[in-house]
Amino acid sequence: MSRLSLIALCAAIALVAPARAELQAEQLSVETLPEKLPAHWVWVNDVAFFNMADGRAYLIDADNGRFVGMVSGGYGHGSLGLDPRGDRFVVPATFYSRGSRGDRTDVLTLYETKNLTPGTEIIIPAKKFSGIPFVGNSTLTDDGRFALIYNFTPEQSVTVANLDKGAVVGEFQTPGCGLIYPVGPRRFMMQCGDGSMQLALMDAEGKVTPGGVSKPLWTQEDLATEKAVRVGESRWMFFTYNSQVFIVDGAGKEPRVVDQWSLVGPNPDGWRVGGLQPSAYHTAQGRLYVLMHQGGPETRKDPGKQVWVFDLRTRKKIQQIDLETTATSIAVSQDAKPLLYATEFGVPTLNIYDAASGKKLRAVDQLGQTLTVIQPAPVQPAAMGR
Amino acid sequence: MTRLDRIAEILARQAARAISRRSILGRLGALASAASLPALPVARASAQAAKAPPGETGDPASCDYWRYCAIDGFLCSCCGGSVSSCPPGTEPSPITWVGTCRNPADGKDYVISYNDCCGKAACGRCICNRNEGDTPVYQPQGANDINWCLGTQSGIVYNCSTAVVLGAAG
Repeated sequence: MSRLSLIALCAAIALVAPARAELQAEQLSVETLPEKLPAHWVWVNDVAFFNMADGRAYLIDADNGRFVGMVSGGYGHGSLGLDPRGDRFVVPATFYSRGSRGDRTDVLTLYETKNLTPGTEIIIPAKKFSGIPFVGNSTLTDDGRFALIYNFTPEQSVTVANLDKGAVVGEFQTPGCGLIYPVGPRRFMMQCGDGSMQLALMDAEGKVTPGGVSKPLWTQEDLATEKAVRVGESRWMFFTYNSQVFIVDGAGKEPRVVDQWSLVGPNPDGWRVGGLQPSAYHTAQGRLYVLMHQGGPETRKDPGKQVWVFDLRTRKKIQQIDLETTATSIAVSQDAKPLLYATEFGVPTLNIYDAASGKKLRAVDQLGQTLTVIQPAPVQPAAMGR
Repeated sequence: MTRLDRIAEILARQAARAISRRSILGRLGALASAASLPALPVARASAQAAKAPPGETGDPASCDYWRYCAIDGFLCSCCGGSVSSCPPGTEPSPITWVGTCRNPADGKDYVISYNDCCGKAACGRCICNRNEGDTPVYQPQGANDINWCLGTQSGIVYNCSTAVVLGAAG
């Protein structure tokens, strides 16, 4: 090629190049997600306490802190009903026809993880508990077939809905007892006003009949809170105001205490379990994570900055994680390299720690308003063991 | 008479005085409290200044005010109401939770009824959460984590919380 030709060619390329760099027109699309929740994805619920008609839940990929998506809840949003398979979930919600007034509708809406699009709706009795969210407010049965909703009017009852049929099975009165703690595919426990617990038994169609009632399990002077954590297929751990722990088993004719001790020992020095979701349990590792702070019994909802880690088999404290900032909710992923999640009510941040080392990995900021219950990707209850 | 009996007696008396037999509260007895009685105009007028009533000290617009020992929510004193009145256009909850707080001015314990005011969105001012004697929700009569607007005609839309003196705890 002659020199002149080369210059001409370069000039031609120079003229053409800007046209090639010009951005192409795009097609607007909608993101899709995996069929099932990956182990390090986590739902963070927001009751939106300052704008309560606008509750919601955020889905976060904790491996990189990416905000993956969200769902809208209703008035006083609680938490999601996650199917143990991780492929679908229910949003229990309350709506008013005119936003803050008008006719009340309580409804369960089914979503698939892969698209977060509202699907089947099941209208339920407009009695769903409204207040600060607890794990016992609503849940799915262990096989994901039925939704169980705690009602408080202030008469107490439980609504059962069949998710596969998209229909309410019924509302079942539970006088004197409330909240829902599943202890098997077709049974759950409730907490009663006198400190006892009662079983509720479901038949194959989801109808509930009352089961056995325990004697009072804790004293009126040191009541167990509603902030329990499941530690086995048929077992839940409850914490009293003074940080006594009770493991209650619901596999028999009536709930019974199978283990009881103090988390803080004979010299607690004011240390106490506290927060909104103050404990988490890693099923495969048998490790209990508890959010701790120092203060009197009236501080049982206060934030904590220490997470004490116990081996549940030995009851021994095996680790202490010093959080960088205080928290009112903690949760732990259920995989072999678990992440510890921490949020504080009123602080719009999800903090993510390596559960093994206690090292903070990352934080997700600008996350809502008043964060409540953290829900990691679920595990199949059958894998929980006894 | 035990302290609990005394509280029950106060609540029952207030319930009988304040609540119609047909209401849901007829089944509830001890859960019912006084503040379904409309507040007097004079009480509303004085509320705007957010001054402590006679015989009391402290600032009713401050979370550390003595009556708020078991409160959870937005203080009506900051929202157009007072410790004993709801903001204009809201509806008082006829049932609620109660706490027992010590009045530093006279050293006596008083039963306080934390009636919610309902029917408008959250006021959003003076958020306050104190939990002296607060009970778990399975003992609802003392539980401040429940949205007590559930007893109103308006529905469960929560605006703010009052702190009404029901009487000496004895």
